[in-house]
Amino acid sequence: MEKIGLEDHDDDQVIRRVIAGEINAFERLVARHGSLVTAIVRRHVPFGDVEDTIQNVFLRAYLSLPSFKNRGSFGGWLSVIAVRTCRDFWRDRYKSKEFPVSVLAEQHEQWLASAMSDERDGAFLERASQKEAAEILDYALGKLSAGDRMVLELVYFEGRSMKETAGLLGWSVANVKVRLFRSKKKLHKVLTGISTKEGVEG
Amino acid sequence: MKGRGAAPEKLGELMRSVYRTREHVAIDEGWQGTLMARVRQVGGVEGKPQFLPAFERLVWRLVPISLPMSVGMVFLLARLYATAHYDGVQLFARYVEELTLKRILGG
Repeated sequence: MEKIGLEDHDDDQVIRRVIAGEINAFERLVARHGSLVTAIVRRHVPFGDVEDTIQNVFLRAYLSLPSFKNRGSFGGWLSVIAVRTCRDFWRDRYKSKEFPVSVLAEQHEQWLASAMSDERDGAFLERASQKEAAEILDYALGKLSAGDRMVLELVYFEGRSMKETAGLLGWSVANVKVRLFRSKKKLHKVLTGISTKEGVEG
Repeated sequence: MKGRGAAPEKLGELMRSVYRTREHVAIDEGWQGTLMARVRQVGGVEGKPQFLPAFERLVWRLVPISLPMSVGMVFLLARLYATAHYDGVQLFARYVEELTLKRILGG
């Protein structure tokens, strides 16, 4: 990659130069905000699709740059694009039916049943297989719609506020509340179903 | 003593800890080069028409207002039309009646 020499320029100045036709200046924005976008995307999409999705986020941002003017910080604007690109990723994935219907094995059920039992001590997580746990989580999240999945991940798993999540997804706070309640209930139903062998086929 | 509500909470905590492991996935930094190649392929963004996306956003923003207004207008116009139609028929009937009576009775 070629050197651009825009280290002392702030985001707004770099954006103005990109819009003026200096395409390579966009590289400076990518370098500055790459870690932010990567951190968001890798939480929401499968490992194999992270790189493609990051590229899609920046490409969407690049094409929308002329509409960025006076919209607060570039990082915040980019976060919104990143979250919505992840949501669109799952929408497309569900629509195209590419998403494999994972089947959980006997060991997953046993793992979940023992994880839920009250006899487990605090060190259980360190001993437990993270791979199995991750597969169970992916399976359960795969039962939710793209929107419900994103709300659950942003609020329940990442601890973001309802207001922040609503802003990121472009929904009302009331909509986020309803979706969170619904998706938490469904997640719990799926997980308890697995541990009692009811939800495996579901 | 642990209650029955402890299990869902424990399960939630367990899933949250699994979710957090996603943050440690290592990504190859080579994507930046590929991305810039794609950006160069797209070309400059200056002068790209932005009217249609902006218009679409405006239309969607106005839907909550324009939709009830359109329904109201349709209702109002339908009523006006029905009334006008009714009056027209009555006027026509009265005209025919008067004309007929004049012909019969004269004057």
